[in-house]
Amino acid sequence: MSGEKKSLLPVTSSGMADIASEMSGLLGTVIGVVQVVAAVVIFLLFSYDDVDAYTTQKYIVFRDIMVMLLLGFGYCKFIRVFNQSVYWYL
Amino acid sequence: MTIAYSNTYSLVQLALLCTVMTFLEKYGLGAVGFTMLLTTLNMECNLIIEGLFTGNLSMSMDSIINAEFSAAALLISFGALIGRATPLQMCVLSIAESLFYALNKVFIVFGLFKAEDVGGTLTIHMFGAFFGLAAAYALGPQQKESASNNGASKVSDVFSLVGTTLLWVYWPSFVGATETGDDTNEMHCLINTIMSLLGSTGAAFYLSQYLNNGKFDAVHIQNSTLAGGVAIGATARLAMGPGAAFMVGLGAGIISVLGYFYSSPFLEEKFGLYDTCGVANLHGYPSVFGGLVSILLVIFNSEADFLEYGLVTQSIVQALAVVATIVTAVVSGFVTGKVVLRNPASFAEVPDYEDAVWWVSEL
Repeated sequence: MSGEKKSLLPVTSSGMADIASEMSGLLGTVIGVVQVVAAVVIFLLFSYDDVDAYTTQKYIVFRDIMVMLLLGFGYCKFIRVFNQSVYWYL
Repeated sequence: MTIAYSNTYSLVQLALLCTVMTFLEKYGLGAVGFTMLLTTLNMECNLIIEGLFTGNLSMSMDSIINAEFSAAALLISFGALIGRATPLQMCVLSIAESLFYALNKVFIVFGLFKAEDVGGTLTIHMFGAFFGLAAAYALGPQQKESASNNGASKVSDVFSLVGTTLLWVYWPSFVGATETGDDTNEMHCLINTIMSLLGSTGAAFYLSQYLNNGKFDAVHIQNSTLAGGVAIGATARLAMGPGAAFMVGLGAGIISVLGYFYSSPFLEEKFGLYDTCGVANLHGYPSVFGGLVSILLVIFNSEADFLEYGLVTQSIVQALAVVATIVTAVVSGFVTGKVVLRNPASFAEVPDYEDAVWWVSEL
């Protein structure tokens, strides 16, 4: 296998690539604006909480919930929905 | 009390992570990838919005965990829309929902009513489900030819079950996340959640085979087994007794399976409400059940110091919080859906349930 990046689009669906291209400007703008706003606001307004408020347990809980969100939800909820499209690049 | 089970969890995490990562490129780029994007956007927005709403601008693990709760509500809503809304639409919806979620949680459920909801039955599951359902209703019925893309295979069903087991195992951490500083409350949260999950899992397996002539429906097992975790959140730190928690789970599991069997086809046919992942059945109905049960269960522990009011008043505010959350979620979800999801001409051309439209990958 070469490392070449290829579109996953099915060859029979001409024109589908243009959809993503059409929306890329707006999508990029939305994502980018949130990053800039978050960076500025958090930099200017937020500081660390008192260290006494921290326990290792809270990090463990954070980690557990992140696994739930990214893997649990990603797989449990959503993997079935896109099943058909995987056949294009099997 | 420390969460001693965390080390065991870490090993499970690593094993599952390694297993599933090997398949990511082929299966579910959209599912897992968009989950990551939307979670990130929603957490970033929630950290700022909830910080401003509460006036607490200290970045702590507590505020980050609260942002995770907001992302959970968003992902629940995403379940009603996945495959139909474009990434752009979902990004905007993610930002809007972080605002309405924080409004409902900070000012209504915990602000105005001071209701009991330690595990997010109302603020997370109920809000996320009804917000997503209202947005899906605003999106309209499923009419595209590409609707046939929405299907499962044995492989995707197995992977979906992997997700279910991850959610099942970590659900007690989710419910008890805010109670790590109090041994009694944490113990109640963990035990009640586990008992409820056991109840809903047993009920889901039993009812699924009963309704399908002895065979299990993968959709029921992938979803309804978790309904106990949804329903117990409002009352998890109450000293209700493990038997009561188990019965809450049984009820939630039954309601969830019946929802998948009867309600989803009915909503599609009669109202044109296409709920892609059935969030009404896993999060909507069980959360309403859990909210209504909380009206009664405060009786078991009415002297608890974390309850704001006496027995009768606490029951009333629980009921009011349920109604207010549903109204807030439906109104904000519908309006957001109308604004964000209304299909302009270009969106009408986008095939549904087709992640190849949005991803480039190495073959």
